[in-house]
This record gives sequence, C-alpha cells and structure tokens, in this order.
Amino acid sequence: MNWQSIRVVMIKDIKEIGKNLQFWLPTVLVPLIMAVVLPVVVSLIFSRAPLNSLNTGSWNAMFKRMPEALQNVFAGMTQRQAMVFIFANYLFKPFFLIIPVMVASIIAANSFAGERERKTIESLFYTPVSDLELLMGKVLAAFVPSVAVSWLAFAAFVAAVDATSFPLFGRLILPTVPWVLLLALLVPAVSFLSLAITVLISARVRGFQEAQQIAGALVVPILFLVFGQVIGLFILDAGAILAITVVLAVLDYLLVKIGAQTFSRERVITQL
Amino acid sequence: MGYAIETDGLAKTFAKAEALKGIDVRIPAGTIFGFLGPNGAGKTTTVRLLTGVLKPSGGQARVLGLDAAADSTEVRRRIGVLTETAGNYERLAARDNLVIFGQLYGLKKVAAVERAGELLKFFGLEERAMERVETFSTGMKKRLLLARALIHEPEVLFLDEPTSGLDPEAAHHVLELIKGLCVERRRTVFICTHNLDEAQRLCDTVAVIDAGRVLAQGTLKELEEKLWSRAEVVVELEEVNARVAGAVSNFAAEGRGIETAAGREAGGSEGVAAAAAAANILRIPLRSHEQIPDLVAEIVRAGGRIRAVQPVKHSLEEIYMKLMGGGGDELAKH
Repeated sequence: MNWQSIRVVMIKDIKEIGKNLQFWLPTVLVPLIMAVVLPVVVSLIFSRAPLNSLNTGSWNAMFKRMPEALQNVFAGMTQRQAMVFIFANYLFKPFFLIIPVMVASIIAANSFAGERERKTIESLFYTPVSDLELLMGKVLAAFVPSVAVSWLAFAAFVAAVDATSFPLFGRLILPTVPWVLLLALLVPAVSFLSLAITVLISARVRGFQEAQQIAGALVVPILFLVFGQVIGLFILDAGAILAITVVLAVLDYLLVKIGAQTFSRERVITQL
Repeated sequence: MGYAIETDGLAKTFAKAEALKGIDVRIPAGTIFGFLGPNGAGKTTTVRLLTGVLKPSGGQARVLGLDAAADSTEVRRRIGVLTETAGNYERLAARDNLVIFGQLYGLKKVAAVERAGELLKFFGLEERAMERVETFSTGMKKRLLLARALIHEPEVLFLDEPTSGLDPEAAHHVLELIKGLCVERRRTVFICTHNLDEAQRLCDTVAVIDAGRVLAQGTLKELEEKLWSRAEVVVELEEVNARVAGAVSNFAAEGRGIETAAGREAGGSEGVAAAAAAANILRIPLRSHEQIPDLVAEIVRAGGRIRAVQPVKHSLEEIYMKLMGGGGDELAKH
C-alpha cells in the first residue's frame, strides 16, 4: 500500500471539488443555517419571548409523553430552561446527520461519476496507482471533509447555543455525552454509508448530477429521525446512537466489500 | 536488438464483441512504431492491454520484458500515456496537473515541482502555469497532456493522435520532440494515428490493424515489397528512339509492359508540347530497384540521353489503402 499515492489522490479530489461552486453553496449554507442561524433564533425565542406567547400547552403535553427517565432530566428546570434544553439536546441531533450525508454524497458523486463524465478518470488508470489505492484516496477525499464539516458545524452550534442560553442557565449546557457520541461515532458511520452508496450509484449512472440526485434520497431516512424526535416517537439518547452506529457499521462493512469489488480499472473503463 | 513491446496472440473479447483477434506485434527498443487503422479497429483496446489497464482474454503482452497483465503496476511506472480519452483536470492549474501526476508516478513533491517547471517551460506554457486548464486552447491542453505523459521520463511512450488539434507549427514541434526522445534518449514510442503523412515521416515501423487483426507490419520498405511484387522506375530521356526502346524492353521485368507517361496523361495534358515531353518519360517495371544502375548503363549504351531517374516509391497512404482494399487479407495468410 503506497500512502503517498492515496494522499495525492485524496488531495487532488479535494482540491478539485474545492473549485466547484456546486459544492461550496450547500456545504457552507446548510451547516450555517442548521448549526448557527436556526439555533440562535430558537434559543433567543425560547429564552426571551413572553411565556404566554408560546404555545405552552403542547409543550406540556409533550413533556408528559416523555419516558420517566427523561422527565427526571428536566426536574428542577424552569419551563423555559426545559424548552431550550430539549431543542439543544434532542431536536437538532438529526440535522447533524444531514450534513455528513450531504457533503459525503456531493464529493463522492463528483469524484466517481464526475471524473468519468469529465473524462479524467482514465488518466489515473494509466498511473502505477493500484485500484485499491485509488479507491481509498477517493473514499478519504469524501470522508475527511464530510466529518470535518460536521465537526466544525457542531463547534459553531455549541458556541451559538451556549452563548445564547448562558444567561438563562448560568452554565454551559453543551456539549453533552450523547452529542459527543453522535459526532464521534454516528457522523463517521453515516458519512461512510453515504459515500459508499454514492460510489455504487456512480458506477451505474451517466454523470455527476444524476448520481447526486439519486444520492439525495439518502436524506429521507434521516428526516424520519427528525420527525420521530419531534413527535416524541423516540429519542436519540446515548443508547440509540450506539445502536444505530453498530447497525450502520455492519452496513458500511458490507458496502465496502461490494464497492471494492465493483471498482476496478477494467470495469470502469469499459463503461466509459 | 531487444524488443520493448512484444505480443503473442493478444486477444480481447468484451461482453459481446471480439475486439482483438490475436495480434502479434514486435517493436524494437528505441524505435518509433506507428499503429494505423480505422476507428474501431482495436487500437485503443491494444493500448489498454499493453498498459495493463485491461486484462487480455487470450495471448500475452510483454512491455519492457514485463508481463503487461501480471506486472501491470511496474509496467505503468515505466511508461507514459497520452490518449484523447484521458484528459487534464480542467479546474486545476496546469502546474498542479503535472505535479499531481509526477507524485502519482512516484516522484517526491519537490522533484515533481521541479520537473513540472522544466516541462512547462519546454512546452511554452510557463506563463500560464498557475492558470486553470479550462482557460487553455486545444493546442495548449494537448501540450500539457504530452508534458504529463513525460513527467516521469518514461521508457516507453504511448501516444494516441499526438498532433490532432495542433496548428502546423505546434505539430512540427511535437513531432521533433518525439523524434528527439527516440534518437537521443533511446525511448520507444508507440503512436496511434490517422495521419498517414505524419506516420510516414516519423515511424521506423508500422502495423496496420483492421477489425481486430493486424493486416501487415514492418518498415515502409518491407511493406512495399510485400504489397508490390515488382519495383518500378521512371526514366526521363531527351528522346526515346527505337534503340533505346528496344534496350529498355529487353531489360524490363517480364510480363509487364512499359508505359509512357504520355499514355497515361495525354487525356489530361493541355498542349501538344506537354504530351511530347511526357512521351519521353518511361515507367519501367523491374524485379528490384537494385537493377537501376544496370538499366541506366544499358540505356546509355544504346545512345539514350538521360535527364532524370526516379525509383517509384509508394507512400504509406498507398500502402494503407491497398491493405484496407483487401491486399491485407492475402498478406495475413502468408
């Protein structure tokens, strides 16, 4: 295994995607809205707005539906504090899974389907880089930025929430253990899943746009998590995060095995 | 002389189509080889097999003594490739393109940067080195591809249509470079081209391929001898009298008549003078060009006064057309 080759392929792909506006717009705007704008607005509303202007009835109903263990978390909190705590710790978690899915799939679509479309992938095939090194370089080119953008967004989110909620709590409410688990385990697992699926899609479609559109469907299962959280169907606590991570890790492993078999010079070049 | 490239019954079948039907090619090291044939003949498939990008369905290819399929990584380390289907990274700067490929061929970054600088200068791209390739003209992109193929100083160079899209001056520059690589640095060059004039000027040996089979290969002279069993010479005399005509017909190869140029061209010539002049030009069939000195001596002995003697040579284009017209089938049987 030649690490220089893997690193060069990775940096090349990242440099290339970095020159593409189609990458920067969603990669900057979506995290900015999800991790900074929305939390600041919600946090300010919950901590400053007059209580009678908020629909406190439905909040009360939601508290009552919560499991007992969770109700204990809120024991001793004022209603405002509880509301800010809920959004900061539960409602926003699934958004942080949308970011890696999106970033990983845009880069992977560009790097696999896009390179085929732009007729550059054959250039790499004539170099002494092996199929596995090429695949690893390209996978890392999607994986590393995807995790990095998610972590940066989370850092911004923590800063935004803590800054706006500190006057209400008198302490920093983020980060918490489940959040750290989500960022450390689930975000990498989701990034990997997203890029592995995009690689498989890329092998079967004509171009970058098509690959990206199909890969966009990956967001759907995450939206279920969003709604599931909102309606109180389940919560993304430490246990749920670990369980989902294990399931995804198994899926990732299987997809990598399939992906590694699919990605060979001979196979890709005969599809050109 | 060692061969840089040799294939034995090299064959490739894709899902439905038989792209190569067992080709045998020998290319001596340090020579320029032209691979000629129509679109879809199997040229690109051959290059992909020789570079180890595809695995053969049958037969074997050896490049620099290595098995192109089994030792493909090592083969690719020592060859450079330029093809129309393997483009530049257009969003990246010209220099980045070269440095990245230098590193992929195993150069350290510093060495890759240095080598990229030399090549950019050589190919006249120095001033645009930091600009994105998408802003370049077709000719500049081609020169960059060529620079990329040379970044690691390969021992064998595969070039697919190296001068297409270039203006005559740039094309000349590239051809001179290819010649230089071959003569001064003993590199082997494998060129796929449709440009027969270029191939004739450049290549030491050529092979003509059609429908997955090599119809003929060799030097131009060898192909000519195979395709035209007899040589011809054109002799221009001051006057063709009976003695000279007799001497020439005794000498000429049996079974073939002597033509005067007038016989061919009278219909197209515009004046009596032109026809008369053409009547003094004889096209004489011989067993081989080696007979020419004796023929000249014979004509002089018969009192003929010679103005010019020109052995008839067939161009690569004529050779190619004859092979494509069916001459190749007969050759392939031998």
